[in-house]
Amino acid sequence: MNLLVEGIVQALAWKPFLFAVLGSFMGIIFAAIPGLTVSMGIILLLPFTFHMASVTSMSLLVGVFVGGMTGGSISAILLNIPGNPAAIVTSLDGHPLARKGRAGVALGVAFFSSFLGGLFSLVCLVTIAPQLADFALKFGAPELASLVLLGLCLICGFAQTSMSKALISGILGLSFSTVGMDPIDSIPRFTFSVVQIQQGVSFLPVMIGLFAVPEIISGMRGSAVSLPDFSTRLRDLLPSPGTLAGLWKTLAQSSLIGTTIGLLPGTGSAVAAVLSYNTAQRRSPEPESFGKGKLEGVSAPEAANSAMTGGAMIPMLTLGIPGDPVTAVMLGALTIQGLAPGPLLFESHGGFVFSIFGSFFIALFLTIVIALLGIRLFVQVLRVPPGLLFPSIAVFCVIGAFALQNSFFDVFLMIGFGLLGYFMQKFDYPIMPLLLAIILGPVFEKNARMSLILSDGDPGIFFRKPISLTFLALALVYLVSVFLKRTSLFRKPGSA
Amino acid sequence: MTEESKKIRLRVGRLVVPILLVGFYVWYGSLILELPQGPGEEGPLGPSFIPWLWASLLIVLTLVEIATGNLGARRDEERVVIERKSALDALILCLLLAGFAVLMQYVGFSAAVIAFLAVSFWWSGIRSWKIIIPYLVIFAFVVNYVFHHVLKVPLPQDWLF
Repeated sequence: MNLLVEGIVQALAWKPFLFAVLGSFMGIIFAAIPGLTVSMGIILLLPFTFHMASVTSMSLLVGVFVGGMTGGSISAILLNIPGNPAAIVTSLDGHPLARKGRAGVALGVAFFSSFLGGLFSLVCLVTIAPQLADFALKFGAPELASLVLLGLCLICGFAQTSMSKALISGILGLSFSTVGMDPIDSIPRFTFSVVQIQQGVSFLPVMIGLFAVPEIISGMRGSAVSLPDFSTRLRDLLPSPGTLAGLWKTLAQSSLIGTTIGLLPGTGSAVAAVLSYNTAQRRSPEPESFGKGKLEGVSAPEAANSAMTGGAMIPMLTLGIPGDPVTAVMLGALTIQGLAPGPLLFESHGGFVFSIFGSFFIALFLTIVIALLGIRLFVQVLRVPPGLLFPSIAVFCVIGAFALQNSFFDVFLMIGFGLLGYFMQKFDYPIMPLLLAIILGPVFEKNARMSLILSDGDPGIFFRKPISLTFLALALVYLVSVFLKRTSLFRKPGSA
Repeated sequence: MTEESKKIRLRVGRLVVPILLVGFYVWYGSLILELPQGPGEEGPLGPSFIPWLWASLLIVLTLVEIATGNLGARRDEERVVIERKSALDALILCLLLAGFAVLMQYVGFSAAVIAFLAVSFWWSGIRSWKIIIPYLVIFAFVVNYVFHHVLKVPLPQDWLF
C-alpha cells in the first residue's frame, strides 16, 4: 500500500501529471475519430517519450491507453461509427439512445462505466501483478521459452481467422525476428551488411507500418460526418446516482470479464466488450430490449473494455509478454528507457512499477474529467475532414519511424511493412501474431537455445521442468481445442 | 462495367499467397544455408538452428493452407476480395511516403512536408487552397519546431523555418 501511495505521489509530480493529462486527452481523441485507433495514437506518441524520464513517458502512454478506452464510445454513440473495435458493441444501444434524444445520458453512462471498470482492473493489477512477478522469479530459460510459446499460441488462437493463417503470420514474424545478431554466438544473420539491422528489425517502424499505414490508406478517402444535436452541458451528461446504482450488477460482471480477458495475450478489448455485452443480455430479465437503447448495453462493453487495460498490463509487466499492440508499445518504451519488463523489474525498479500504477490511477480520474468537460471539443474534432487528418498523421508516422535511430532506412522499413500489413489484412492474415512474434522471437530463441545448450541438445529439458511442462501442455491443449472447434468434423450437422 | 467486374476476385489470395510463402521459404532457406558457422556449430545449436525451425514450420503450414484453402473444405466458404482502387490507393500512398522520405533528404523537412501534404490533400479530394495553404504553413512550422527544437530529433533542415 505504501508503495502504491509513493507511486501516486511520483505520478503527481508536475511533469508526469501534465503528460498524463496530455495522454488522456490524446487517447480520447484518437479513439473518438473513426479510422484512428488507440494503438495508432500510442505508436505515434512514442517518439515523444525518447527524451523523457521513465515515469513521465509511462504517464503519457498509460494516459493514452486509459483515455483511448473511453473515447471510442463518443463516435459510437453519436455517429453509430465505432471509434475503435471495442466500441462496436457500444453503438448497438448507444446510438439508439442518441436517436431518442438521450445521447448525453448514454455518453455519461459510458464514461462512468469506463471509469469504474478501469478502477476495478487497477485494483487487480496492484494485487495480482506483484504476486505473479514473485512467482515468475522461479522461471529459468526452459520455462521462459515455453511461456513465450504459450503466449504466441494464445495470440494465434484468438485471431478471428483460420488457425493456419494465424500461425503462418506468427511464423513469418518469428522468421523476421531472426534478422540481426544471433543472440548466443553474436553472428550476423540475414543482415546483407546493412548496419541498421545488425541489432535486429526495429519494432517501432514495423509497428507503425503494420498498424498505422493500413489505417491511413483506408481513412484518407473517407468523408466528413454530420452529428446529431445534443446538450453538452455537464449536468445533462452526469448520470444520476440511481441510474448508476441500477447498473451495479452489469458493471461488476463486466469489469471482471474485462480484466480476465485482458490477462490473456491476443484477446483485446473487442473480445472483452462482446463477451460482457452477451453476458449482460443473457442475464437481463428483458434481453429483447437490448439493441434498442438500453443503458446496460452501453455500460457492459464500456466497463469491460476499460477493465481490460489493467488486465493486459499484468502479463506485460510481470512476464514481459505484451498481449496487444498497446502493451507492446509500452514494453518497447520501457526497453528504450533501459528497463527490462519481467519479474526482475519488480525487484530492481519496484518504485517505478508502482509509479505506473499511480499513473494509471491518475489517468482514470483525468480521463473522466476531460471526457465530461471536453465533450464539446471532441464533437468538433469528429467534424475534421479525413482528407486533411490522415495525410497529417502520415507525416507523424514518418517522423516516428525516423526518430528512433535517426535513420531513413527505418522510414522505408515502415513503408514496406505498411504494404505488407495492408495486403495481409486484405488476404485475411492477422497482423497481431506477426508483430508479437517479432517482439517475442528473440526472447524465445535465446532461452530455447540456452536450455538446449544446458541439456547438451536434449529437448527433454522442456518436459522435465514442471512449470515448463505445464506451459507446453496448456499450449498444446489450447491449439488442439481451437483446431477441433474450427474443424468441420466437430460442427453440428446443418450448421455453417 | 459491373460492380463484379470492377473487383479482382482473389481466389488468387488462396493461390498467390501460398506461392509467395513458398518463394519466401526457398529464399530464406537458401540464406540459412549461407549462414557462417559459429562457435556453437557442433550439433543443432548453431545460429541456423532456430531459423531452420521456423522455415520448416512455415513450409508445413503453407502446405496445410494450400490443402485446406485451395483444395479442401474452405474452397466455397470464403472468398477474399480486394478492390482494385483500394490496392492502387495503398501503392500510391506508399509511393508518396517514399517520395516524402527521399525529398526530405534533399530539400529539408519543412519543404518536403509542404510538398507531401499538398499532393496528398489534392489526391484525397481537398481542393480549397484557402484551407490548404494556411494549414500547410502552420503545420510545417509547428511540427518542425516541436520535433527539431523541442524534442531534438535531427530532422533534415532547410531555409524555410
